[in-house]
Amino acid sequence: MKDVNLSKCKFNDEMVSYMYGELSSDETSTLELHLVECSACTDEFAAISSSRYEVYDWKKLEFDPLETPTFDLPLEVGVGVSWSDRIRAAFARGWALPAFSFAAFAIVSVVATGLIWQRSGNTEIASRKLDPAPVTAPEKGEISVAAEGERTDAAVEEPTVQPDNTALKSKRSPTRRSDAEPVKSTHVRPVEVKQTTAKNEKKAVLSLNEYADDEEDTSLRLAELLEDIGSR
Amino acid sequence: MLKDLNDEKLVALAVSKDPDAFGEIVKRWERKIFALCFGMLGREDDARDAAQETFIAAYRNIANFRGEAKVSSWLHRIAVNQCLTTKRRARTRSEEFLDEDGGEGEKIFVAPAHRSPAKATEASERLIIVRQAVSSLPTDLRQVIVMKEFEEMTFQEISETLELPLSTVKSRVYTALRQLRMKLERLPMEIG
Repeated sequence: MKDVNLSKCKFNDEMVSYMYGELSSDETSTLELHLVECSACTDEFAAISSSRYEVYDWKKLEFDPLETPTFDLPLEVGVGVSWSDRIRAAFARGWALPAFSFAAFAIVSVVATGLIWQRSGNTEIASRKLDPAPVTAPEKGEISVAAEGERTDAAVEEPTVQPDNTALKSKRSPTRRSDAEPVKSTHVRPVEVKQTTAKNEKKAVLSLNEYADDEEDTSLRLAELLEDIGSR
Repeated sequence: MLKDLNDEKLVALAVSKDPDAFGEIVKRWERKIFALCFGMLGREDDARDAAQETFIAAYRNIANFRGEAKVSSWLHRIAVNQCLTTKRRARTRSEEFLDEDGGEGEKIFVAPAHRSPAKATEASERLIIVRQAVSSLPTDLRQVIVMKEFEEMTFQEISETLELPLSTVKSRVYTALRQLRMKLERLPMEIG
């Protein structure tokens, strides 16, 4: 089988390109003029056009109706994408670096503030532990705790000698009874008492983290009075 | 029987006002003329219109056919002229920004798309023959035909993919189409 154009015009490549619309406009004009004049090339072009159309029709009838198959690719597996690559890709975006910087600064600021606040609170409590307030001698049936300086922890604070100290009263725990109320509570919380021996008096030191109820205060006062009397 | 007559005798009968003779000519050459128009215009609708116009022009001028050339060549020449006229008209339309209403009247002659059971059987037989013809091509020729027709790649893309010169790719496509034509000669000619 001889596969050559029967005409001697040598327009084979041009005819193929023209048939698939891949010829330049100048070459197209040249070929079209030639096809009008050359019967052999017209027949040749008709022959290859017929073959081409048969293949085109075969494809259209047999393959075009077929649905394109769909594939569910396991994209979650992440083929070959490491964490470092993902982080690098995230920072490759323009807005990512400022955003991450701001977020890191905010996190560091919050953590630092929390640490400072916690440290200052511990220092204050520790200072109170190191410098316990001496318990003054009982007067007029009341126990009094001499606090050194002002104490902000209302839960461990005892009323001072001054009955009209509203500032201290306002700091008391709401569960605590006022000084004027009688002692009725049966709920007694443990009290850590430190007693120091002076010449003629003993001082009880309350724990900084706890406070004594009035009932507890009364028992302490009685014990101290009995000891005081005995020593005398 | 008209089917047994050659093209020249059919034309002679058509000149003598035998409508069936010209109908036989149309039936015999319709698909090839349509394929030629498709090769020139690249669109099936345009090719169908051009093929219709070709046979109308042939019927009007059949008295001028002197038998100096083959009937097929005569029809091919009319088809080429008709396609060039169609292309020129399309260029003029696009340049003048005419809307599509102007073209509606010219589609009156478009053949209905339905297929009779006989034509459906014919079409399926043709598909089998075309498939066998393509399969029987040498590998290098079949490869470029598949890439061109099925993958719809350009000649340049095929050239880069196969690492072949552009002229070699075009030559292979041309040769493949020529060989296919030889294998498909026994195909029925009507448009399916």
